[in-house]
Amino acid sequence: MEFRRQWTVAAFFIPIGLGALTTIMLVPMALIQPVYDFARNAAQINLSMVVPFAAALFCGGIISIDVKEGWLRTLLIRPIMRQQYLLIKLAAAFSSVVITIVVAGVIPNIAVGAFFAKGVVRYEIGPILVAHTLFLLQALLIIGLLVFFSCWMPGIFNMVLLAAWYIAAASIGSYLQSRFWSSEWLMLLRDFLFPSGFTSALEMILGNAGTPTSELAWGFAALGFSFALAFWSVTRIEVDKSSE
Amino acid sequence: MRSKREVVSPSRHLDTRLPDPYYDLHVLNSDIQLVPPVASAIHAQNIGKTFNPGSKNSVQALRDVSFEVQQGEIVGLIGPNGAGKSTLLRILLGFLNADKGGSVSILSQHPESLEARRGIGYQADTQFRSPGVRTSAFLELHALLAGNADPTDEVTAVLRHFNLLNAAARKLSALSKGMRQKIELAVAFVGSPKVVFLDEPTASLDPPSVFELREFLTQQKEKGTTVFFSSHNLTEVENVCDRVLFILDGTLVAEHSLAGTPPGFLEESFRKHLVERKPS
Repeated sequence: MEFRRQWTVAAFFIPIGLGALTTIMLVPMALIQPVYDFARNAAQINLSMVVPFAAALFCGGIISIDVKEGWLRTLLIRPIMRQQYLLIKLAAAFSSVVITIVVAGVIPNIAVGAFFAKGVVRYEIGPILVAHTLFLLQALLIIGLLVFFSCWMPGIFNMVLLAAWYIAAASIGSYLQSRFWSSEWLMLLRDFLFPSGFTSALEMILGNAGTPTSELAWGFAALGFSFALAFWSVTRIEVDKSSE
Repeated sequence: MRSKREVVSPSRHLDTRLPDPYYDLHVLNSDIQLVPPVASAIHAQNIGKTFNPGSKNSVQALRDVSFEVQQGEIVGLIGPNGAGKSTLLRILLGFLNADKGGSVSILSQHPESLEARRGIGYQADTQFRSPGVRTSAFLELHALLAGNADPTDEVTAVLRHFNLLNAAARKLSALSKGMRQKIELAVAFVGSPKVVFLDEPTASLDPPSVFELREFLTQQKEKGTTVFFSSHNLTEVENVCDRVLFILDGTLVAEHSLAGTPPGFLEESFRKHLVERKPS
């Protein structure tokens, strides 16, 4: 039922619309690129657009809407632990994000590669699997953070916050990286505010730049931290704050 | 040789002894142990709640509220708007955190423990309003969560009891306020809970539904279900409850047993408490 509740009529159209948009973005790339690299294009499309959009769509108000609509109250009056509730929500949200990635990221990428690519099309299963695993881990990280924010703030605010966070990560994060890469403390602060372990690991793997051990470790640390925040928040929130 | 099944009572053992000055006391003690104590269904002690503490908008919704409800009792909570009735109910259910120093137990358990949750039913004053969920699916989910693996029969019985069979296939969002109120009431009794909390149960109901609810609550009392409900409807409380608690400005100001009271007693008493409470 959690999964079904997420797929409202509007939610059905967004992955399709997003898929159309990614197709429009991929076609010129397919026409220009001498080698149409499926994994690299997937990384570009999914990390910059599909994953954040899908996460914002399905998780922006993941908890706050349940509190507002009385759904959380209606579930928690029954013998269900808050942690169980959160796990169900996470599973439903993650499934929805995966479907959106398939509809808006994977299918257009395959289709464009098959019908529009002028150069060589590279479908290497190893990098493709690694890339998609890392997208999904990045999606989980964002879902964890959105659950945390959603416990304390309304959904629309979380979407704005996510957008601002992405813009800040791209501007402030990149600025810190380019100007202060030698300062360990600033780099630590940057990685803490804009955790990019999985995306950095993906860049290294696709660029054949060695084994991204520390990047993956940092990504998993951020993922663990976001989930810890999410679980802590769900056990603290007040379920029914509506006035008399 | 004594049969294994034969039980030697403490009093028989005492009979064999010569004069025991504490004989009666021993017998009395043994009797006390044999009678099971009446269990408390709801226990609240020193409950306080301040919204936005420390800010300019700070509101003290509840002050030092303590009471107890025994199993099988129907207890009404009455008070004017904003008195703290719903806040108290939500704290009792563990949906809101009370200020430090207070304690709540339901069926001798913490209200959020799974053991307590297995025995609780709740009808909220604000209705569940998610689009797309159908009545039967909503009730089936509740029955499943309450532990009924095959909920179809129970759901049909509850729908029939509350005259909701024609609404089974309809979406909750498409129903009238009164119908949704009945569904919330039906949900409260799904899973045969031991303690049921009702928040303004008759607020949106038409008179026939109110009569049905009254009859239903009487049946539940006969089954031993404890019902704790808040209401503005004094007649309803008087007709149904064993006992009533008055709450004014977040303070429990009085508690009355309704056994043998004349009609209109509650209204008179309520007026008296309101007058006493008004600043001179």
